[in-house]
Amino acid sequence: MFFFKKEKEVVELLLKHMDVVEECLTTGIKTFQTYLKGDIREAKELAKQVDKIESKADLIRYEIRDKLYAGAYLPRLREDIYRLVEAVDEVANAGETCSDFFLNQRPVIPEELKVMFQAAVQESLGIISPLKHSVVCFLKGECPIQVSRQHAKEVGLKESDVDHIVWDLTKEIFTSSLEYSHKIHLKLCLDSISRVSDLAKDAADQLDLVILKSMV
Amino acid sequence: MWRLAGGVLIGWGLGSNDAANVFGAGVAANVLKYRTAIILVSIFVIAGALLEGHKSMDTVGEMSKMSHDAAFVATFSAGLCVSFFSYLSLPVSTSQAIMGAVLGIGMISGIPDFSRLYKVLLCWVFTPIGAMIFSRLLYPIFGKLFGKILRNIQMRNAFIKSALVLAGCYGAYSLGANNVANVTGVYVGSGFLTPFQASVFGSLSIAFGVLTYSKKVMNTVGRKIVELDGFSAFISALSAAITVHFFTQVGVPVSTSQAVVGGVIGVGLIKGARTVSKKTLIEIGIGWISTPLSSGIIAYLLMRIYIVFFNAAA
Repeated sequence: MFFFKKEKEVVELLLKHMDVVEECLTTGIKTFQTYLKGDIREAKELAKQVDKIESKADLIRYEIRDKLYAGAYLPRLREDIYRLVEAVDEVANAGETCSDFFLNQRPVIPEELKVMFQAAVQESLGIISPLKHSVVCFLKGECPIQVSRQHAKEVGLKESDVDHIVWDLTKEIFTSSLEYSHKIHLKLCLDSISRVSDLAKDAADQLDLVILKSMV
Repeated sequence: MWRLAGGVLIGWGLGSNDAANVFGAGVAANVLKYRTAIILVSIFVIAGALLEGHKSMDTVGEMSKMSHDAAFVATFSAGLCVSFFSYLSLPVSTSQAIMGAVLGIGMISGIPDFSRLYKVLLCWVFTPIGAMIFSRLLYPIFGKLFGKILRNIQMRNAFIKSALVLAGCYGAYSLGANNVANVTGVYVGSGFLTPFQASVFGSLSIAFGVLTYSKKVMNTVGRKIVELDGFSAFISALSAAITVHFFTQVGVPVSTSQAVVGGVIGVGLIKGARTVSKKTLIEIGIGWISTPLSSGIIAYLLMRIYIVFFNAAA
C-alpha cells in the first residue's frame, strides 16, 4: 500500500470529514434543545461552536480536494468522490444555517408546537447517522457493497419521515390562531430545518452513484 | 548503412504513434508520469523484440526476398505513408503499410508472393475481432474476482492502477515482439541484417520514436480511452496485448491500434453501450485497403525512380 499513500490519506480525511460533519449536526441539535429551554446564552455558545465545526469541515474538504487533484484515484472516480465530499459538506452548511436561524432571528415557538418542532429537528439533523453509516461502511469496506447501498436508501426513508413531520407541522402552524407574520416566520424556520435532510438525501444519492461506478 | 534510414523512419513513426495504445490510458489517468511511461514502453518494446521479435520477422522476411536497395525503398515508402497518414490525423497501421510496400516492390521484380498474404489479411481482420472476443471473456472473469476480493474503494483503485501499468508493460512487450518485424523484417529478407541484428536495430528505432515524439499522440489517444471507467480501460488494454501477442506466435505483424479498438468494442458489448463510433469502424475498414494500397503505390513509384537513377535491382 506504500504506492497508494495519497488514496489512503484521502480515505482518512473523508472519514475525518464525516466525523466533523456529524459533530456539527449533533451540536446543532443541542443548540436547538437549549434554545427551546430558553437558555439563550448557552444556545449562543453552542451556535458559535457549530460555526467553528463547520469551518473545520470546510478546511478538511479543501485538503481532500488538493489531495484528489494531486492525482489520488482515477479521474472518473476522483470527480465523483469530490462531489460526494461537497454534498456531505452542504449538509453541514445547512446545519449551520439552521442553528444560526434560531440564534439570529429568534423565532418564537408556541408551547403546543414545541414537541413537533423538536421531533422535526431531531429527525432532520439526526439523519446524519444513517448517512455516516453508509459512507463509513463503503469507505472502510467493512461491509458488503449492498449493505452500504441499503444504508444510503435508509437516508432517503428518513428524509420522507421528516417530510411527513414538516407537512403536519405546517398544517398545525397555518391552522392556528397565530399572527400571519408569525406563521410565515415559523414556516421559514421549518424550511431551514427540513433543508438539512433534503441535502443529506442528495449526499446519499451521490454516494450511491459512487458505489455503482466503483462496481464492475 | 544509410539503407537502414528507411527502417529508422518507420520505427520512429511506429514508436511515436503506438506508445499511446499501451500507456495512453495510464498517463491520461495520472496513474504514472509520461516520463515513466515512455521509459517502461522502451524497455518492454526492446525486451519483446529481442525475445520474440524473430517470430514475425520470418513472415515479413520470407515475403520480401529483395535487394538491399529495395529493402530501403520498401521501409522508406512505408515510413512516408505512415507519416503522411499521421499528418492527416488518419489512423494508420505500420503492418499494413510495410506489407503494401513489399507487394509494391514485388510488382517490379516479378509476381509478388501472394501465398502468405492470405494468412496476413486474415490476421488483420481477426485482430480487432480477437481483441473483442478476449475482452468479452476477460471482463466477467476479472469482474467476479474484482467484486469478491476487493471490497473497499481503496483496494479497487489500487488494483486498477497497478493493473493498468502491468497491462501497459505487457502491451509494450507484445508491441515489440510483434511489430519489430515491420521495421526491419525486409532487411532480414534481403539478407542485409540477421534476425537478431534486425531485432536490436528495429527495437531501438521504435524506442527512439517512443522517447522523442509520443507525447502528443499519447495525450490524444489516452484521453479517449480514459473516458472508459478504469476497469474497462484495463480489460481493453489487456485484451489488445493478448491478441497482439497471440498473432506474434502465429508470426504475423498486426495493428496494435486496431487491437485496442477491438478491446474497447468488446467492453461496450458487455455493458450494452456503444464505446466506439461508426466512423472509427469505417476508418479501420478503409485502412485495410487504403494503407497497403497507398504504401504499395509509393513503393512501386519510388523503386521505379530508384532503378532509373541508380540502376539498382528490385
